[in-house]
Amino acid sequence: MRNLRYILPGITALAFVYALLTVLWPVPDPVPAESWKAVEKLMNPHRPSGDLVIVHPSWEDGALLHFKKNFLILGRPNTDSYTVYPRIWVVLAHGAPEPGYLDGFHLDFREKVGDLEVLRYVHPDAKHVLFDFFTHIEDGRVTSVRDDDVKECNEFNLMRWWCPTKEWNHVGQRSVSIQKTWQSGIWMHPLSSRITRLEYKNVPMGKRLAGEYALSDKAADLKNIPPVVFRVLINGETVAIYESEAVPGWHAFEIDTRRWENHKATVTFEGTSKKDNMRHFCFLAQTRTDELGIPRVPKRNALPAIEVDPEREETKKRDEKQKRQKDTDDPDKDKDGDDRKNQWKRNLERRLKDHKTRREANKARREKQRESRKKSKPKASPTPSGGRGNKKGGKP
Amino acid sequence: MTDDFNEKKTPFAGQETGEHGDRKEMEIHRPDVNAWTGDACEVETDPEADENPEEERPAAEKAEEPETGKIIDVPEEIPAGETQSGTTDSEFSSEDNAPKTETPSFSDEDAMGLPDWLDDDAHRHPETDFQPESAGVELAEPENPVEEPESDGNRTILPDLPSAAPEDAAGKEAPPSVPWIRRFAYPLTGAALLIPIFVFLVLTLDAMGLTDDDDFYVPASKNYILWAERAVKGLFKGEIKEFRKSAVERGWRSNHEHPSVAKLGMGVTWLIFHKYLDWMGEIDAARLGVILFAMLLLYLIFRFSWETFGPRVAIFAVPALVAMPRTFFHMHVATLDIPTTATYFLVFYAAWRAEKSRLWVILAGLLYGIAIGTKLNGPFVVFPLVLYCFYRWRQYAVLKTFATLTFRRMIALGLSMALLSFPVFWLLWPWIWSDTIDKLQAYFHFHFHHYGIRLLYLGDVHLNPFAPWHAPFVYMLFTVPLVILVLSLNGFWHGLRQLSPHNLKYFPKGPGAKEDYLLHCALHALFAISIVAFPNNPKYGGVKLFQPFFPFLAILSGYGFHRLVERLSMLWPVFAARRKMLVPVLMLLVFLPGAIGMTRVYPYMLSYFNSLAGNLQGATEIGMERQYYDMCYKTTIEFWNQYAPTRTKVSYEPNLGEYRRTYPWYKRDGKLRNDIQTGPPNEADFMVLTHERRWSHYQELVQQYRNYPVFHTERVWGTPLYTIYDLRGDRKKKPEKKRKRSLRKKNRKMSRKKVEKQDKKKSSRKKTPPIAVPKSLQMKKPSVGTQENRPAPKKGKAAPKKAP
Repeated sequence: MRNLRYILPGITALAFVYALLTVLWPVPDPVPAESWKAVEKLMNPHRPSGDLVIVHPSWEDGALLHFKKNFLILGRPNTDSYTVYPRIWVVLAHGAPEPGYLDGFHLDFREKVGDLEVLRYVHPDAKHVLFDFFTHIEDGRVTSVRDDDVKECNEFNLMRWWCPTKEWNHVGQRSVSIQKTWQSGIWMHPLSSRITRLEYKNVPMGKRLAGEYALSDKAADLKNIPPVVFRVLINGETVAIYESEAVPGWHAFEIDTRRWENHKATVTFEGTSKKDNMRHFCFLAQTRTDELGIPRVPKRNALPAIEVDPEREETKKRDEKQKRQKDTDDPDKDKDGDDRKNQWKRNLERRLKDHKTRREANKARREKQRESRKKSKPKASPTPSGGRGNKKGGKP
Repeated sequence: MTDDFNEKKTPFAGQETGEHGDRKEMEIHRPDVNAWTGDACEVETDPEADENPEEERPAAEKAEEPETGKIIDVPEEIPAGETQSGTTDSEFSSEDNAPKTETPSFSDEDAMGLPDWLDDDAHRHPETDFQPESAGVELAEPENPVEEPESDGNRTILPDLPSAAPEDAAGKEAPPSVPWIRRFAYPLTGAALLIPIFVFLVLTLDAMGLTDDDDFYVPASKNYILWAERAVKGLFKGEIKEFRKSAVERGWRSNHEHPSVAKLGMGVTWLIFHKYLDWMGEIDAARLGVILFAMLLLYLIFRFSWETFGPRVAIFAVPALVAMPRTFFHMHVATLDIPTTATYFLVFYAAWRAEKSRLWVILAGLLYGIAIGTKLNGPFVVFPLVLYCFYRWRQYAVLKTFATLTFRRMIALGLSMALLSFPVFWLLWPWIWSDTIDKLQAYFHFHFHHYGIRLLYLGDVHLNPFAPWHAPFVYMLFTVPLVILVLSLNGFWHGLRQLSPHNLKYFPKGPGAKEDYLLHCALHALFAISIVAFPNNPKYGGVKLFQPFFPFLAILSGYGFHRLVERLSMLWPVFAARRKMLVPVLMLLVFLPGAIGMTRVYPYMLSYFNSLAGNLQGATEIGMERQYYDMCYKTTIEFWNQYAPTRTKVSYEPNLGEYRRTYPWYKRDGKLRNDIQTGPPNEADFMVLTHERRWSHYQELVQQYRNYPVFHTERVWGTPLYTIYDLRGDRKKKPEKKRKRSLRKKNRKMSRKKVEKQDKKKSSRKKTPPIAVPKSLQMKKPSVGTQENRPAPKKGKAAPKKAP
């Protein structure tokens, strides 16, 4: 084969030409601002602010100046956080190819806008979703409650509601390491002896409210730490209470909401814990139209939905009944059953009572102490050294 | 020729010469019998071309060629000196079957396309190259021998060549007619190559950013060398208190996860150039030690290549290594990677020299101890060496007395390395002088259970488990300049072909074939990279962990270049005729794309990717790390010095901790203004976000800071490397008094005047040499992303808050 002798010079020449062309090839100009603005204009009417936007290629960082609200990822996400979004927008610049990593999503929209191309991917499961609490985090209202003390977390930044209590106390979108993969969820780190409350009003209700909650891997590894108590209320009525377990991974939950189907309701999520150290708690939830028992978005490492213990439920119902009865017996209770308005009065009375009893107890203690001191006062001893002895005389 | 030898050679003699199996004929037909041995690398590589050369050749050529089996007459018109030793290109003869004498371009003087004093054949090594005379091979004399005073029979041996055994060459005198330039070719070429490289490395030292490893190794180097200084001074006074266990452990405790040799090297330069002479800052002085290790490595490559493959390979291999941007970067930083590469190669070199010299057998053992004492890459040099010994053993079994490495020598080498290395290792690492076993156990335990370090590889972040086995190979393929890579693959091919069954059966190229050494290089290269590829080994830092691979790659690429020149000479008569001029041009062309690429990323050498990966932009898009090492770039330091207001606080993300460690070094060396502080983002005036996607919270940081005005984005090859955000407008404002007080407290109660005074003092004391950066690459005033054209920060927004 005489031609084989050309292989080395041929390949080297090809490599040289290719390498030279690529190194001398001019760097593409950044995408003009007009194109970005046009894309924004196109997307804005169709997207909630919580939708995810991915831009390719990853080095095109002009997008940072535009998509201020949406969660923006430049290039292929390096975590699994994107899997929680029912809808993902992909913006392609400089002729970048379509992303091949969005498994399970299908393309439902495509349009070229200026120098950019806009694609929208939708998860097949999204058709059953009426309301996604994760992507609508901006619509939520976050408060930190302790008895009468209600602190509003009204500072919204980085898709999170920031509370004035502690620096790290916020509620919103955040990636957490769950079973060694970084996944997104609604972060709700509870404070000790305070209730962190996330409330959504006018939520369209379907047949069920389904979701998952989890502790981060670090938090789940810790034993003997009080659990996070997670409560779900619909129109002020407690519909479910869960306690986080020291087991890493997502724990699925499901609430029957057929009572409120085709209506709008106020959905509240509450989280609290006796101790707040390392209570890295997060959850995801959606109101859905599909039937109960059908698995939700295929979630990585999700554990099966918690089966409600009928005995426990009965006891809970009984307790609630008793509580209600007590409330109705209370003369201060409003007809509507909303006792919040008068709660401060009761609290004040309780505190006053406590204060009185404490004061009395203190008085009694002090008197006792005085008496005991009188009794223990040393009587005049016959010897100069006294009863307890001294350095000079030693023990009597 | 001995009978034994004839028996072995007969079967393949016919194969080589086509139809002529007769030994005498073969000898007559091949006056270049040395090609059978020392020149065997010139033998045609295409087996198909060898098998039936008659078929492909044009009839005209056939008619013109002399009959095989006859002695070739040297035509009179051929100038003297171009026939005898210019017969190395058997590749040419085997393919075209044309007498070499008809091609003046293959003459002795310009056979390699280089000046005559750099001719490969002229520099054949008397020891490593096979000597047919010594082996008893009778060379057929041509009928009309042309007198050539410069040649010694079939070859020319330079008397001044620093040979593998200088004691042998010492007795010989150079022929009187050898020009002086040829006599000094070796040292002149070496100096012409190595001195400019050394100067270049020193000049570019300052521009390379500070790595997190610098902060580990420089203090350790200081401690070690200061202990050594105290110990030596004490010895002169007759005191031995520094050798007590407590004193030794105090001096050697820092960074005892790694042995000492590299750090001692850095410490020596620190002691001389910083402590005694005060010519350099601490970091630069320590880094100079690494440059010296790099120079040792380059010298060894040069020497080995020159003596084994000839000047062309040597002249190519040395700059080829420097032209690999990642290795070039590592030659500048105070880490263990280049020192371990140098000592690794030193063992390889010693083993090569040990084939002929008993002294080097002992030295190999001692040097192996030094290699082990540098980093954990060192011990693994044994495995390819053992494989190579098996190869040589097989060769010895076939060729008997002609083998260059005898079985006894192999055993001696093995014993030397086994017995001498550990004492050297122990002596060089005082940390293990006491509780040796426990400390060694801890040492191995640390490395065998190394914590994971993130690696972004093809879009996925790998921490635990480590990245897949192919990660080192892909990183290598993407970070070596493409043309050099192609040439090195050719070298690999030729080296590994020695393991073909046919070769292992007959060893047709004899015991001193260059390809044997090429095989040796290829085995070392493969092992050096494969060790990292094992699934249980951590993979991080791009190509950092397998730096010992690259010198061998450079040599293999040098060989590939040599083959390329030969091919072009064969295919293109114009090239053959003007080789002296065209080979240097070709060499420049080969280096050109890589050099342009390096210039485009300078000084961010760790961000280099070759054309296979689509350069930096392509690599970033397919999910490769565009930077690592938590680099504190010198450009940011220059930026603060130039633009930052007084008492500025800066922050770095995603890994602030590392930057807080490295910043003080810049201050100590007077490169950074003393009033610039580092701090958490919520207290900082400026925040530098390095775009390191391997950090899981990188995406969140991008969200977090996009509402702040961008002060500057550093783009390399169109790819953002880091972005400086201006947090001043949005920072939680402390009351002025409180802020001032807290700043003062943190600045150690230094008044502004005092700070300025100190700065002045430092700047007057140490004037760092200017960086040799082209003007076009120097940092410009930010034109994009200044506060003017960025949206103003929203009022009422709080500063970014730290998660618990």
